[in-house]
Amino acid sequence: MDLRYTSDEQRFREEVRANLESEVPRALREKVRKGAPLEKEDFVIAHRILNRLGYAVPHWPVQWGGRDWTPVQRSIVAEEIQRACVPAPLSANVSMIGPVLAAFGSPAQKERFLPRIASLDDWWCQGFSEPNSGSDLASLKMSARRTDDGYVINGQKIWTTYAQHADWIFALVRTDLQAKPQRGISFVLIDMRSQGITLRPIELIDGDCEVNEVFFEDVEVPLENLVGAENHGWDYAKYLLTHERTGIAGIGVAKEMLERVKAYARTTIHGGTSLWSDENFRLTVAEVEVELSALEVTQLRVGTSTRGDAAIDSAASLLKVKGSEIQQRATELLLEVAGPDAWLRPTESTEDWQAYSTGLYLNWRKLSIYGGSNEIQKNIVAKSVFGD
Amino acid sequence: MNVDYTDEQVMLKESLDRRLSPAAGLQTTSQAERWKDYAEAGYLAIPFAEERGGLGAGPVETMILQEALGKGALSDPYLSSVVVCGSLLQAALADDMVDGWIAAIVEGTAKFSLAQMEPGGQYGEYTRGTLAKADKVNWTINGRKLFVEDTETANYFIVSAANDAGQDVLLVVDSASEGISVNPSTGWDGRSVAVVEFKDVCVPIDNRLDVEDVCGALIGARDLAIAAICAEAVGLMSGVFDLTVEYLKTRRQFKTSLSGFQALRHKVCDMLMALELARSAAMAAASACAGGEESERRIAIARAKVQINRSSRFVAQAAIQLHGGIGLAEEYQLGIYARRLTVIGQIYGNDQVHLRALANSETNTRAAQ
Repeated sequence: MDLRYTSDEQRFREEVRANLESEVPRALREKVRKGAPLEKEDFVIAHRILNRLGYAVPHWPVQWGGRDWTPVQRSIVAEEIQRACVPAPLSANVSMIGPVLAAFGSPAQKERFLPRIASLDDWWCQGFSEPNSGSDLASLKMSARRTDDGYVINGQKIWTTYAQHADWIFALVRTDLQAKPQRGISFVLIDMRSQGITLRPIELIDGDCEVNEVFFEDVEVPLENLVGAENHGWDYAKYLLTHERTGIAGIGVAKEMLERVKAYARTTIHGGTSLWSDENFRLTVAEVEVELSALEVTQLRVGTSTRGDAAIDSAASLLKVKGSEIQQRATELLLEVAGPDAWLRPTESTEDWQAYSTGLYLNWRKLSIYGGSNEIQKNIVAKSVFGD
Repeated sequence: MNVDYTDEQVMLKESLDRRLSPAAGLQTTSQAERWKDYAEAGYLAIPFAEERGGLGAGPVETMILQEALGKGALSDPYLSSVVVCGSLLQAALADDMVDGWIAAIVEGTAKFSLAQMEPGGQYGEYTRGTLAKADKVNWTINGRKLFVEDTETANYFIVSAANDAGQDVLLVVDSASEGISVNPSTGWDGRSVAVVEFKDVCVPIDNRLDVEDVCGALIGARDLAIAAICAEAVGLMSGVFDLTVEYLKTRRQFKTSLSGFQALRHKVCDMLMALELARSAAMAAASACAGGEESERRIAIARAKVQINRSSRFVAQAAIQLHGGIGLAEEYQLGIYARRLTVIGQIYGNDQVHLRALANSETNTRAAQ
């Protein structure tokens, strides 16, 4: 057990950092740093650069674009992408549908979809939650009636991130009304250009429309778009939700934001001196860094252990909980430094970071809600702790 | 970068878990019996160089052992003797006397304790109130030391003092020497903690440890002690966690076991997170002591102690809460753990001491530029 990075690992980190800085346009990284909303093009440009560098799908099987890297190297890449304010590779593509198809897809599905997923030639979104099925996802109602050629889908999904940009959606649908809820769900791939699909953007309190409602009216889906076996969709969904753990704690994101907090505190003047020269403020930041550094080691234990430790595996869900809390705390600190300038809503021409800080803070309230709310994560861990 | 234990470290952990687990019922053995057992098992040799009869292991192995001691709620003087004084003896230029003292520790025939802290230095500040005058034959020591640990079993003290020229010296002093008066108190954690007065205490001139940078050696020993006590706290918290989970499973109210109630389940998850964050922090501290830059070590140590302080308070509080009334009963096993966890939060630097050090560290000030 030695937590120092080897010189090879340091060199690798420097190489990744240099590549990100030289290859990803500065203007784009500035946009992310400021917290300004991103256009579709911003995500696509960043993702394709990352894919070209081999940083988009390093965790995939090598034959589909993965790299023969150690878990430590993958962890380094994830952190550096976050620290450089580069938009992460589209998670619905690289962390969700990609690994599911790699594990459970048919050879034809893998051939057809995986390369285009990696390159973001196809933009995927996740059709899981419904208006009446959020935390209780297994209660979902969107139905898939079996026909000769496939399925006819009726129903609605909600909170579908970036559906407005998407070419495809992977969805959980109910194929058996008689079975126990988890046993009657199938996992299907639906072309967003299909007849019968309509979108309604949902404006969030930060002013952006990150998520949508997606309505399905008699949408036809060919049989070849069923993933795996009918009525086994819940297993694939569970796999998806627990599969990719590198980077879930948002260590790099939190580190970058705290560095920004410190830098801004140096230039923010209160009563003749900088906020940073106030020991109380430095103590406040130090407190967050204590917990962040402990969380960072915990993330490394979960993500890079080759021995495996049953105890920490069950606590992996708590990485998401604590990571979300620390990232949210970091936005609180950013707001604190912004002061009254955080009152102003940014316009198109706004340059200053302060106006965006409120939007960031509001938007990041989602971190403790999405991907399985913190309360659900604790339910999952408790089951493991109590063995029930 | 490697988060996993080596095969040897795994074997050490398994051996310790077998010997020191609460199930092994060691609370009923005497400390002397246990110490003999540790000597036989080689535990007392862990941090010493192989050429000096040690295992040539380091802070990571110490962490593993300290965690096992904590889990078993054992108060054996491993930290004072092997970790702190062992470190100072190793920092000294080797000679027959130093080798002899190290061998005595390894064989289990002598225990050592550091007498360093003085009035005005309780928060770790470096003070020079104790004076040692040298003539050709002896040192004569005068001074008052606070918070000297494990005096009941210490055969020797290592005493920090200032000589006539105002330089720092470290002197090995037989605890039975004339002029020493030990005034022990009992800590809330059951440990013995003493004020030790030195009045014209004479030790042979050769009892000075030849250490080039005494202050640096003391800081190094203190950092090792902090890393070790962090590991002990992790063991204590782990013991408390297991006790709590077991209690919730077996205790029934409202015709069902308490483990079914969500509020309690979530609190247990909060305990687990606090424990695992503390474990990670202890690992970072041990790893930083095992090698790397001093400035990074100081930061890792400060961060670890703050994390351990907070996690310890939370886990102890939550455990008592989840046990209800019985959590406060002395007869129940939780009290020993809770009191030691509480004390650990106060000694070797409370939150304020270390947070201030972090807030004002040079790295921190540079980072904001």
